Amino acid sequence: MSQITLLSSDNVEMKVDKEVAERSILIKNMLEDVGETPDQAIPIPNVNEGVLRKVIEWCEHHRNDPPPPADEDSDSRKKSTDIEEWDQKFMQVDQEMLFEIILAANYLDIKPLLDVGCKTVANMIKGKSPEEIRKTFNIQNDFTPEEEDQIRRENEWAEDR
Amino acid sequence: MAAISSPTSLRLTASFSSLPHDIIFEVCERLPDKDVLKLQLLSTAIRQKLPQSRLNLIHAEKTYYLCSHSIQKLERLIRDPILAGRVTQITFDVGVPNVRLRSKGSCVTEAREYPTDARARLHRWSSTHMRRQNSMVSPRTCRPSAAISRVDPRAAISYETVLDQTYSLFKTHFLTHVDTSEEDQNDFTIFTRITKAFRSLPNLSILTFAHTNPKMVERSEMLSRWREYNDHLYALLYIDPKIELQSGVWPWCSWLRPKTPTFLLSTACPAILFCATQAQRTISEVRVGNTSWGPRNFGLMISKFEPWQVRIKDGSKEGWEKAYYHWVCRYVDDYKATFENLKRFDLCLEPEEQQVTVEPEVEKTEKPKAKTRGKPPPVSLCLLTMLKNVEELKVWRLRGDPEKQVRSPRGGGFVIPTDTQLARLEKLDVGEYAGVTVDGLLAFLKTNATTVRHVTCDMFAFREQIIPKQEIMQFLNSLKKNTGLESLKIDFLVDQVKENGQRGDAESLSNVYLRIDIRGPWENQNCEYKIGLRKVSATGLGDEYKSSSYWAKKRGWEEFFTYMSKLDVTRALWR
Repeated sequence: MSQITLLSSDNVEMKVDKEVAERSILIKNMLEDVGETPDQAIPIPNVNEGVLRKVIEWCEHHRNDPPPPADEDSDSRKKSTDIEEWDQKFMQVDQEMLFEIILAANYLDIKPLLDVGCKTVANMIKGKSPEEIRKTFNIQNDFTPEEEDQIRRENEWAEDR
Repeated sequence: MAAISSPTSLRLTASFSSLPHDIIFEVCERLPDKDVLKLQLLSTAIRQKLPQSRLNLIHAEKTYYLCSHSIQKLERLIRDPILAGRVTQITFDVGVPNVRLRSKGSCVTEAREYPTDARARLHRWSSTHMRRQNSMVSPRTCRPSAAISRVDPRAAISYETVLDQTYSLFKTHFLTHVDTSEEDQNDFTIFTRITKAFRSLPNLSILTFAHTNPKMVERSEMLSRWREYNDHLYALLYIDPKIELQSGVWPWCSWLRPKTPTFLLSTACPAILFCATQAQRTISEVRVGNTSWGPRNFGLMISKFEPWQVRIKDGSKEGWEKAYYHWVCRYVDDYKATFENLKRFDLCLEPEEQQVTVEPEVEKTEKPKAKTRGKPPPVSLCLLTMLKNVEELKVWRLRGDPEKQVRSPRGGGFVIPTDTQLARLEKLDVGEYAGVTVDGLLAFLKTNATTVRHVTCDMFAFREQIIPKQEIMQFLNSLKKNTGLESLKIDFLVDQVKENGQRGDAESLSNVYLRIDIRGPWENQNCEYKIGLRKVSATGLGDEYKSSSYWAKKRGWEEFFTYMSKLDVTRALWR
């Protein structure tokens, strides 16, 4: 099994099976362009060692998964409750790490990981009041009372029948 | 090794607020509308990152009941021009959110089967309400019924007595508290208000009609609607001790039922389409949504597509026929303007509308000649005017009472006159129970041969007519010669076979369908022809259909047609 080396933003090299690294469409396309397994480490800027290790851990676990369905609008992908048990545990990290994983998945073009990350965030939002969501994500409310009132009224109308 | 270009989206410290637009968009894709709306309230930064297209879509689709309370909400909405400008689609639900009390026999019979906790709750509720009623004498409250008066609430009473008391309390409440103002409203008023509201909705282009089944929507949503529209029940259901189980199963879903609708699709749809013409809106689609719960006479009638209330208003003194033509002449240009760019029209038809012979002279005339006066056309001139430029037409008929269905439709064998030319019709979808004939469908397609490219026909479109294979082949041959179809998907009933029932002591009937699925221009060698057989066993009305089928793929017309000519559609192996 051929291996490649990835270089994190904080200059830590990590050896990884090529098959595992190719869960990232970005890396896969790049390796295809190069045409052969590179000798040098592939720099992954702005993804630090900790995050890169987590991403590789996910890729290792899902190395044999079938490719994601081409249908971008598939319902199952959007059902936020539909997360595998292993993935749920994998995503039990602090919020900073969770968002870093999502950003890295987006950057490295790993759609299934991005999906799991977004579902996790969606589940943290679903059914909560705006105040609860603000508290969950430590968000400062900077609306004036008038602005907030206006949005609330708009929202009420949206669901009226 | 060159570094992969640095992502602009990555930040030093990641948080929800710092996520870029595209990730917020992905998260929103996994959230229901109500949660996306809540995200607007978090902070100005997050609000700016929310997908505007999604928010516009949420605000673009509105649903209203045809009652004063619901239309008031539409009237409140149009006061805000920004919100009004976002609305592109309105669904009018002819279902009624107001509830009525079922008969005593039905309620008591069901209540005898309640579980222990529901019985205990009902007992407690009944005793408390009886005490309250006996201690309060209000001049506006009806006298309790004799059954209630006889009962001493302190005495140990049987469950049957509790049921009797409870039902009497409910009945008394409904007799004294139900707001009848809705029922007293003049029907004209609501459509006048809708017309006025439409004038303030500049981007309204899609009108949908539905009759929702409360049992088929999410229970919590159904209960919240029923609560909102029946606030008189607050004292009965929500003050302690509460009568409802936490699940809300009872008594909402058991003792109470929606009231009979004031409007049917056949009255609401024409009236609201007329509202759109008078508000000078441009309508691109007229859809019929969920009709699973409509009464049997719910569907549209091709002979009556004028708003009845307007017709009565305009012509009550002159006589029906004269008024009809007067009315059509007066408003035909409004209809033309509003439906000039109509893309799609759903024609969900009444099951038992009388099929009548169509006289071509009348049906083609938009402004009828004097000699035709006195005899209203069998197909509404309004409907024909609206359909004139339609690109996609979907027709189907509600199932209705099978005993009363017209088995062999007279007239042209299609739902509108077969020589009706629809200048832009590209797609035709004939749905279940449409009751068309093969000849009628063919004649209509020939009339519109220059434009129609896609045809879909449901397996129940021809009802229970068994069609000989020879006739099907003639139909297909004629289509090939006379039309330019690019896709055809159609099922023909070719045989009915008797089969032994599961226990071997009864026979049931199975339908055998010949299925045709053609994709591509028919003359083209790459056109894909699929031919198949499907056997569908109906074990009874409403039962699940059990079916088996197979397909054969053929390339080119010759191969397809030869295969079909040799195919035994009454296959021995299925007997």
